[in-house]
Amino acid sequence: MSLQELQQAFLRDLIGSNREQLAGFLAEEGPIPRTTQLNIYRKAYLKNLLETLATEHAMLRRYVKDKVFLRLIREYLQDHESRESSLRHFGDALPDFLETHPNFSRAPQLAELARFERLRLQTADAAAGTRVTMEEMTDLSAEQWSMLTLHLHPSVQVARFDYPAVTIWRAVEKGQKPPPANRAASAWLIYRDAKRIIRFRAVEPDEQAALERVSAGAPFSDVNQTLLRWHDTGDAQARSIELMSGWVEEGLVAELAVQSDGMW
Amino acid sequence: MKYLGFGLGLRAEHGQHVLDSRPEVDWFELQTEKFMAPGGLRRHYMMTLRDRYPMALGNAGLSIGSTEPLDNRYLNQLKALADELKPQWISDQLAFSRAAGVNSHLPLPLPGTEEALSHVVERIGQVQELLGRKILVENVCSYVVYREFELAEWDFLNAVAERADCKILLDLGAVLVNAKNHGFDPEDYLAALNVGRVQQIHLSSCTREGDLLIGNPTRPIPKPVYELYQSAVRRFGAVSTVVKREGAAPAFSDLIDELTRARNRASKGLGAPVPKP
Repeated sequence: MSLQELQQAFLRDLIGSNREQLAGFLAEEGPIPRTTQLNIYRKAYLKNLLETLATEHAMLRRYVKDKVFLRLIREYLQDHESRESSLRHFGDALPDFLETHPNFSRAPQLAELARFERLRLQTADAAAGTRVTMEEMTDLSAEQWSMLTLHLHPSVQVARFDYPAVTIWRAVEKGQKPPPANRAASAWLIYRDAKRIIRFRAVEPDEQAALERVSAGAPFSDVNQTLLRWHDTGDAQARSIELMSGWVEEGLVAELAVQSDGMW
Repeated sequence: MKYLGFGLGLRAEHGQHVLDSRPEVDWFELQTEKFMAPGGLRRHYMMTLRDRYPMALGNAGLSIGSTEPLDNRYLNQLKALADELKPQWISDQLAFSRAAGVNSHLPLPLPGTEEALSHVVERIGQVQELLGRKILVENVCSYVVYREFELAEWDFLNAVAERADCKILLDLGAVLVNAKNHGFDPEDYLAALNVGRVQQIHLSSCTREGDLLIGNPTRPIPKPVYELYQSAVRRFGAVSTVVKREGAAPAFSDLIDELTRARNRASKGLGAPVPKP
């Protein structure tokens, strides 16, 4: 029997797809009974992956309690063995899994809660970036404003939820009773501040649309146009300046790019 | 052989304290996977502290003994991190974690066969060539007894280090666990290793489960590990040492106490004060 066959038998034993094969590679007699040998690794395999997801999804775990969380992870593992060298992305498919699972999809806030926690992880790990200061913004001339494009900090994310996932997350984190999971759409901004603390806040529909336009690389003049859906011409311009000032103060803007002579 | 003294794993929870108070830690070991993200708090501490303390990368993701092809994407990420950090050295576990397309993320032990030996030596060669440096391989806990083997664990480790021309990261907690579970004398293990190959020592913990010892780096280092450490220092001399603690972050002062115990044991083993790195 080859090294490759032994290794494949070991992994198949751990994931439960073949629990007969590995025993043939192990000594029948010895200081550790064969069943004990196998059980130590089976237990460690589950524990390691469970702890990874329990750390990354601490509020989801608290929300559903340990027993349901364990069942959820066991079921996730059945179709989502880790295939990467790093564990960092092992739980990436958890929100989709919860959204489509016949049992867990009946509580749609679970998938959204998991998605919010994954967005927080992505924000925490995002690349470092520069941050524009208020002075740099106020130094812009009127002409430059008309040719301005904003680049957001790499940690910035905007997400829409159909259920109160973020308010549930916040209540659970504070040890408070979570609100009922009634359908209630909201949009949230998630980012990492200059002290590398993860922040999040609700955004109004006009700010959400503006942030999405900026994220898509649209010039600032387009943001004004977008805001006309909610405001008249004068108010839209004032609102765009207000939003941008707020973003700069929060450290969300990484760069101000001004188009000159048709070139960036 | 380069001697770094007494170190700890760098944890995000302790990063600010280390920055502010410059504690008496000679060097830091970084668990590679936790520092691979392009930004964030851990990376900030890594980049800020790298000029103040020597650092090494303690890796666990290469699955160096696997018969599946090396994960070149991961290897390149590791190389990029090493190019940026310029660590004193890089280690990985002498084990496999990946097979049949699945990663267990556990250090699964290799059988002591000539086939496994030849295979892992070749793989270490590939890794060393891509990284452009010699690596350290670390012994791991083993709870299985393979039906077929030709070499005892220590002979296998020695042969790997000699034939791949790499160094050894000796985890004394794992030696103790395997000695208890497989019925050998841990002192025999130390006596069998080539002195010039052991470049780093891990002090790690274990817990008792029935008649067995199970590796458990979340616990304080138990006395038998320190006793074995004293023997190891007597044999190998002053070797760069790390107190390995994983799981929930212990108080930093507890880790400093562990380092003090390690220094005292090393001093007893040497019969002289520990040298300054």
